[in-house]
Order: sequence, then structure tokens, then C-alpha cells
Amino acid sequence: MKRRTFVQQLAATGMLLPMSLGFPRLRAFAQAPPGSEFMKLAAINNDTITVIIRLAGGNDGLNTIVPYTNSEYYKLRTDGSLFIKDTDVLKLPGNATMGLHPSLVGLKTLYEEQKVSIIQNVGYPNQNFSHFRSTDIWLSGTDADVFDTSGWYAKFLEELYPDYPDVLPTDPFAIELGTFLSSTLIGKKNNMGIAISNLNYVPDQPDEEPIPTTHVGIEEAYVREVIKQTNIFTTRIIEAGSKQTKNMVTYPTNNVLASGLAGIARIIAGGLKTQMYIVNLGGYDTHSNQLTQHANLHKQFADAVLAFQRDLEAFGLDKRICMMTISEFGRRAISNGSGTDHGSAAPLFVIGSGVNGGFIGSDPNLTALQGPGNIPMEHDFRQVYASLLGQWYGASEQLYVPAALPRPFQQLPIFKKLSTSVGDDTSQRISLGMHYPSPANESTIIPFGGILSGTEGILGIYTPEGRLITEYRILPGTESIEVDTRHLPSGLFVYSLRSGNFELKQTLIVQH
Amino acid sequence: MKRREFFSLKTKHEEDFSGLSQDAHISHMKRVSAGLEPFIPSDSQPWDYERAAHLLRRTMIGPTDKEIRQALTLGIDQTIAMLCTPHPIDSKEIEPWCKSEPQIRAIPANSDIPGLKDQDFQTQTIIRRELITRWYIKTLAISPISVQEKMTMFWSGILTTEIDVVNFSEWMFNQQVLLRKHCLGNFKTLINDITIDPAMLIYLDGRLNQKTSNTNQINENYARELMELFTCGPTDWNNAPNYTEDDVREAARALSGWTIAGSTNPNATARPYYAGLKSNFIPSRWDSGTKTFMDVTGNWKASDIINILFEKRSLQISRFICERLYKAFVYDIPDRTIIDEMAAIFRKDWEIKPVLETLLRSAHFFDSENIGAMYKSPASFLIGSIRSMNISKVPDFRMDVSSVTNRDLSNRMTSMGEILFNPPNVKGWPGGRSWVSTSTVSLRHKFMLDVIDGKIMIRDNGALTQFYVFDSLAFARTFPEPNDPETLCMDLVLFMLNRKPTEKEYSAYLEALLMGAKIYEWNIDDPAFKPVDRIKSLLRMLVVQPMHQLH
Repeated sequence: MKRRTFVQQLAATGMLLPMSLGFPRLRAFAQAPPGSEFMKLAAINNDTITVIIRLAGGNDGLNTIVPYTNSEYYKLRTDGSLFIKDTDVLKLPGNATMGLHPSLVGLKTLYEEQKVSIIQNVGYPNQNFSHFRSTDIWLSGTDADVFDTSGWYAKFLEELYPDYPDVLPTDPFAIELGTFLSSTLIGKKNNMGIAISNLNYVPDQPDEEPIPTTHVGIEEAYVREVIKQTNIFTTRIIEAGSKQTKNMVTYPTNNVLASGLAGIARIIAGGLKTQMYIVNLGGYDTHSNQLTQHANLHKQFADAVLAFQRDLEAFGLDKRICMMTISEFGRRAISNGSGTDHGSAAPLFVIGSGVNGGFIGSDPNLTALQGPGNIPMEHDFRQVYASLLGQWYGASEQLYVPAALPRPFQQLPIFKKLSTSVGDDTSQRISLGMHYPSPANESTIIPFGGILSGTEGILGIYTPEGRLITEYRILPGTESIEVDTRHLPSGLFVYSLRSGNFELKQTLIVQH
Repeated sequence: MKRREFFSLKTKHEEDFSGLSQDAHISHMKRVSAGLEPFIPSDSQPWDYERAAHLLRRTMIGPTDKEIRQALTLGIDQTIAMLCTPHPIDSKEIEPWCKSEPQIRAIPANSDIPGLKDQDFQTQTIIRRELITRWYIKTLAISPISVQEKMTMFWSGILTTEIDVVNFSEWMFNQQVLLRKHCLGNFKTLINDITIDPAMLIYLDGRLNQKTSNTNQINENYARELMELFTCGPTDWNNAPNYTEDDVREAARALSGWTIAGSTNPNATARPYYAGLKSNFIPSRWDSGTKTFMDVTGNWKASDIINILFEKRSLQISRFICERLYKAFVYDIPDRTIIDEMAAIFRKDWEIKPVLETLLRSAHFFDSENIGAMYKSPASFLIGSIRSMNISKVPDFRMDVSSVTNRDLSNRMTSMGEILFNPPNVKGWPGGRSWVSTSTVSLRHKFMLDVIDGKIMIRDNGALTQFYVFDSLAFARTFPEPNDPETLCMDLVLFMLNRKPTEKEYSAYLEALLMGAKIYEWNIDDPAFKPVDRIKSLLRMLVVQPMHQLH
């Protein structure tokens, strides 16, 4: 709407008009060059989702996955009795040396169901012991001597969606719960995610006005962009949230992580296509009063994770969602009397129905401590990121190296399949073939299959920016549909088939 | 002033700003040419309303139009002198407890020792945390023309302490007194004092840092942050490290031995249940061995470490702190040429006031580039709006009652990311662009629109009651020419948005104010003309403009 019209209506009614339409900004699709957003989109899984749980402050690895048969551990933690008694440790099937912190009951349950992958001794070369610097390194995916404040996932998204923000997706790429966006989602050029703490209000869009190139002008433009993004994305999130207002299970109360995860489960179930969520659980900087504090945090963590997993299972979404923990460092092996100081490598969890349960790597080597008592690293955290991008999102290496990670990293066998589909239940698999003839002139045939009886599919034709042009209802038993393309201009389009929790996409080429 | 005069300054325009991110804008930055030399008003950069407003907005919370005009009349030097004059703070509403020794554990049920038992003790601790936070908010809202509160917040944002960790509000008040005392004083003295401040000894575990004949419990928490966050920063401007991991450990050893003094309660049996307001040094808990800190070896104690640090890293410390000052008062992207000049003044004797005065007086500070280019923190935004628009009936200001209602403003600040006394972590608030996110901008808009429309109804003693009362008519009448709609419109725009509107913008704003009326029909004194509706119509439009997030 033009300013003039807006003001006239405002003057007439004496009130602000809702200007939020929830549409992405459109650009003439004929201009979308081959190899841009939609081409790359077809190259990754578009239905897998990751929830990163950041244990902020530096989680003590030794008291999380406890080497309860190692006398060296008990020696190092003598002062202040900062160890977990071997009788308290939760023992795990198939591992006679490492067990879980007693608060991690929920995690033990999931481990026994083979839904927890424990990656041992994760860190990076030349460990930095500052919270802030080390967090930057973990979130940026860079080497310890490289200063980069943009995040690994944002850089991956920027590679995947070079046209952003000229072309906005319908749903936000990534959502962080809380007030601030952490650098994981801040790219080199743009914020690639949004921070959300309140979903009750959609602001009005401010008027467009050219802006001078001064400091003040630059900041004003920044605020304008933030308001615009808020406007578009919150509309979609509210929409998804209002479709699914209840969880399938009861979550623990007085647990911030649990309430965050409960909200995420609802919006995913409500159909939001966001593929990355970040939640933060702070307080792991246990220099003092470690035993009590750590036990409380771990209880919150494990209880919330179990409830979330059960909820996803009840929704039938669990195969599409994994959780991953990160923390800027582990803690010193030796105690300081009431806690532990900043350390280095520590275990990391990837949790979900799509992971290979079990341990990856060896027990921490407590007889080869480095410097003042730091655990030697075995896995680089970027091996975990590479596995996530490669296996979970199905991205080829050239999509994330060097954009998101500085060089190739050897992947770890974290996820069940090194394939583009994580659907385990093959009976639910749908297929979508290339249309013919291609390019299409007056009409073209789109082949597909796998729509189960009792369900139906939706085939949609979209502009490359994701704007819906036409939808067709697909009944079980049908194997193809003839689509009229006379009304479409020459150019590239996307067609997708959705059924249940599955969605597949292909490119449609029209040439008159 | 007539509207035409406002358009005499031509502005440059750029077409496309999409693709802007938190860091990307550094690349298309150009330096502001004006330096640290005193600002001399000229025809193109006069001492005008915008500059008087700029000076007050950066140095205090929510100046009113009247105060801005007062500064305009007083002139730069007198205004800065007024800003840098300390003023007493009023803590009557939380006395006497805020100045007393904290009770740190419950008195046993069957005991007659004076103090609270069990649940009552827990409740009191929680209520006091709430009260001191609200007292702080209120203090900001009623503070006079002075930089004292902004400087105290500045130091709280660097020398951080979280009340959630410290738990007892008495120590937080004690620390507030310390920060206010030194806020424009000597930085090295401040560091010496904060190192052994009881709240800090709790927050960063200094009180646990000890080596006795039979235990070695050296705790590195404070030693690391003293260097990384409080003084020199991790690296210098060439990214060379300012200290080693060995320096952290050796400093931690030297800093050992400090703890919180015991209670001085005259009743000896009561002492174990209370703690002192001071700290003390216990030689037997101090690691008395030889330490090598920054290549100097000796039998160092805490003050020695600070002396060595300030001597060996004076360049880095002065630059680190002056960069923070620059970012707090001028712009979020530091200009190292200016900072270097500031640092040279600062490290002469570590006096804070001279360097701040030089900055505030400078041509650089008053350059048009920097006016309105900073983000309002939630405190500046919320408390600033309350103060500058004279919004009354703020629930949190009712200090006598603890209730959910009376935590409304505190809760709003929390959801916008700034909880006074509770920074997100030891690094303090990230500030700058992070204040305005997809999450917070909607909350900010909603608050302002609800206040203007008188829509904030909160249950109070069972009855739904309107809070945050805003009298738009009275507000408009505080401006010099409320009966000239063109001037009033321009004045309101300048006051709310901190920059002159373009001609196109101005006509849209004027239309919003007039709501179809003719200029000559304007009559603020005639209720039949519905001036309230018209003023609100403009204000509603102004508070959702991007510039309203900036100052």
C-alpha cells in the first residue's frame, strides 16, 4: 500500500490499519537464475528438523557421562567430593565403564531405546578458555585462530538461499527461542533466523521511505528490516500455532526448557516448515556449588528431552526431528573444591528416532591430561556439524564447505541412513517423478506414487519464491496427473507432493 | 519554528538497504570526519533542539521536552557541567533493610534469635529482590538531569553481578552505592574496590578462592573475568593476546584469601544467621607462594595484581574501556581514531570524568551522523517513555506492596531482554542492534500503542484497573505552540523520532494529526474539535516508526 492511501485511511478511521498480509515479497520469477534458491532446495532434505539445545556456560563432561570405574576420576574430583558415586551412576546397557549422571533418568530411557548417540571428547584444536570466544568458535564453526561472528548454520543457509532476503521463504529458516538471536543464525550478510519469545502480536508495517547513508540512516534501515521480518514470519508462526494448540503429552512444569520444547512441538505439528530451532539452557558455568546446580540443570534437561521425544512420537513426527546439545567447553578434570574451572573436550548428545544409539569414541583419557588438567579432544565439533548437514539434511559437501565449515571434516556415524530420506517406515514413502514432456508447453504429466489408502496427497505448483499457484487433490491409487501449463509464463517453477508428514519437490520447466 | 525551515538541510538518499546485517554494515561505513576537538556551533551544525536533545538522550533516561529546551538555553558547557554533577539518590523506600546486614539463613523454628524463620525468611529474600529491582527502575524514572544513572548502568554492564546468584539484595544495594560513588571517579580505584566487593566475591566465587595449609581451592573465575571483561579484554587491537592461561592461574592465586566479613550483630548468638556488608582478607586462606604474573615474579596479593595489570596493560585497558564508553555514548561501531585519543587522556591517571567530558563536548559527538543512531535499551525505551511522556500510575512504582500487578513493568523489561541487576551473563548485555529483534520489536510497539490508547488494564485488588495513564492533551500542551498544528506536529516528530522528517514524511504526519481537519480549524482547547483523538492519531503513527527505536 502506498503511503498516501495509508494515511488517507488512517485519517478516515482514526486508527492504524493492519498491514500485515503475511505474503513473502515477490520478485518476478523469470529473473530467478538457474542454480539459485529453488535448485539448491531440491538438493537437501526439506523435512528434517534439528533442535539445538545449548547448555550455556560449559557443561562438565565428566559428571555427565561418568567414568565410574576409573579410579583416576575419583582422585581428580576428591577435593569437595565433586564426583558422582559409582553406586549413583545410571548404568547403560553395553557399556561397562561409562554411565550417566543420576539426574539424567529420561536420557537413560531414550538410550535404552537406542535413540541417543553419545559422541565422546568433542572439542577443537587450541581450546580457548573464554566463554565468549569459545562460544563464538562453536557457533561460527571456524578454527580457534579465526575471528568470525557469523554462524555456521546461517552461512550454510546463505549458500543455500543466495536470493534471501530479496526472496523470502514462507516460513522462517530458523527460530531461536528467547530475546536475542545468537550468532549461529547470524550470517555474513543477513540474519538468517528470528528470535521469538512472544507470539501474541503482529506489528504494523512501517512506511517505506528512502533513507540517507549516515550512521543514523543505516540503523533506521536495519530496524525497518527487522519490523518487516517480524511482520511476515510471526503471522506464519501464529497460524501454525493456532492449528495445533495442544501437546500430546504433559510436559514437566517449572522447566523452561520443557516449555520451550513444548511450543516447538506444537508449531511443528501445526505445519511450520522451519528446519532449525535453538533453545538455550544457561547455568552450566559451575565454578562453585557444582553438585546441586549441575543435578538440577541435568534433571531439567533430561526431563524436558524425554517429554519432547514422547510428544513427537505421539504426533508421528519423531523420525523427522533430532536434538543436538552443544556447550562452549567441558570443565577441568580436577575440582577446585566446590566446582570446576573452564576445561576443554566433553561429550555431546544427538537424540531422536533417526539416530544410531550408542557411543562414538573412547572413554576420556584421564592419564593424559593436558596443561592444568584438560581432557584431550578426540572429535572436532565440526565433525558433528558435517554429519548433521551431510546425513540429516542430506547436503553435499560443496554446499557447506567452505561456506559453513572451513574444510571437509570426516563424518561420524550419528544418523541411521546416509541418504536423502529419513523416513524409516518404507510403507509411508511417497514418490514424485520428473514431469514429461519437459519443457512443458500446453500441458505436462507429473508422475507420483505411494499415497496410502485412507489418506490423500496435495500436489502444489509454486513460483520459485514459494508462492502457491495451483493445488490439486490426489487420491490413493492415482499415479499421475496432467497439469495445464498454458496459463504459466515460460520459466522455472517448483511442484511438490505432500502426504502425511512427507513432502517431495521437483522443478517444473515451462517453455512456450 | 515554521515547517519550511526544517527542510533547509538536504539529505542524501540511497535506494536499497536490503541485505543489511548486524556486521555487514561496517563495510559501507565511512568515518565521521569530526574529531575529539570541542564542538563549535555553525550554520550547518548549530546548537539547536536536536543537539540539545541528543546530549540529554545519550546521558540520561527519557529527558522531557522542557528539559531539552532548558539545555538549549543553558548551552553546552553548562549542560555538561550539570550532567557531571553528582546527586544523592533516595533510598528511603527500601530503608532501613537495604543498608543492614543481610540475614543469610533461616532462624531455627524453636529459637528466639531475632530474625525470620523458615518460609518467612525465603519469602523475604525473594520480596527484597523484587523491591530493589523496582526501586532501581523508579530511581531511573525520577532522576534529575545527570549522567550519574547512565554511568552507573555503564559500570554495571561491565563489572557485572547477577542478583540471582548473589541472592541477597543488601549486597546489591551495597554495590550500587559503590558504583555510584566511583561512576565518574577513578577507574583503578573502582577496580580495586569491586575486586573485593561482597556481591562480586559471591558472583565470581572470589570468596571460595583459597589455599590453606591443607587445601588448594584456587578458583579462576574472577581472575579470568578481571582481565577478559573488566579491564584489558582478551586481545589487543592487533589480536595479540593480552594475557596467557598461566597469567589467569597466577592471578587467581594472588587474588585468594578474600572473603565476606562476618556479621557485627551485637547479639553473638545471632551472628551465624547474618553476614557482614564488608569483605576482609584472611592471610591463612591466601596462597602465599611466589607467583609470576605478566612476567613479574613476587609474592603478589590482589592489589599487586591490579597494579601490575594497570602498568603492563595500560594501553590495552584504556582502549578497552574507552571503546565501551564510545559504544555507550556515541555509536555501536567504534571509531578507533577517536578511541585512541580518548584512551590517551584516560590512562594519564584513570580519571573517568575528564575523558567523558571531552567526549560529550566533542565535535564528533555532535556530528549529525551520530544523532539518533543508537538503539534504545529496554530501560531507555520503557522508563524513558514513562519519564519523557509523563506517564503516570506505573504499577511498579508502588513500593509498599509486593504483588504480580506491581511487577508489570519489571516483567516487560524482562521480556525485552534487560533485567536490571540480572545481566544474561558475566559479559553483560550485548546492546546495540540486539535490543531490537523480531522478538522485542513487537513488544515495544504493543506497549506504546496500548499506553496511548489507555488499554493497559491490570487486576489490582480484584478490580480491573487502568495503569500507565497517559494524558495526551496535557502532553501536547507541554510543547511551546500547541495551538499551531504545523509547529506542534514538527515538535512532536522531533521529540519522538529524533530526526527531521523528509517533506513527504512530514505531510503524512500532519495529515495524521489533522485527521481531515483544516489547519485553521485546529483548536486544542475545544473538546468538540476532538484534539485528543487527533493527537493520539499522530502518536500512534510515530511510535511504530523505526526511528522510535533509536535515539
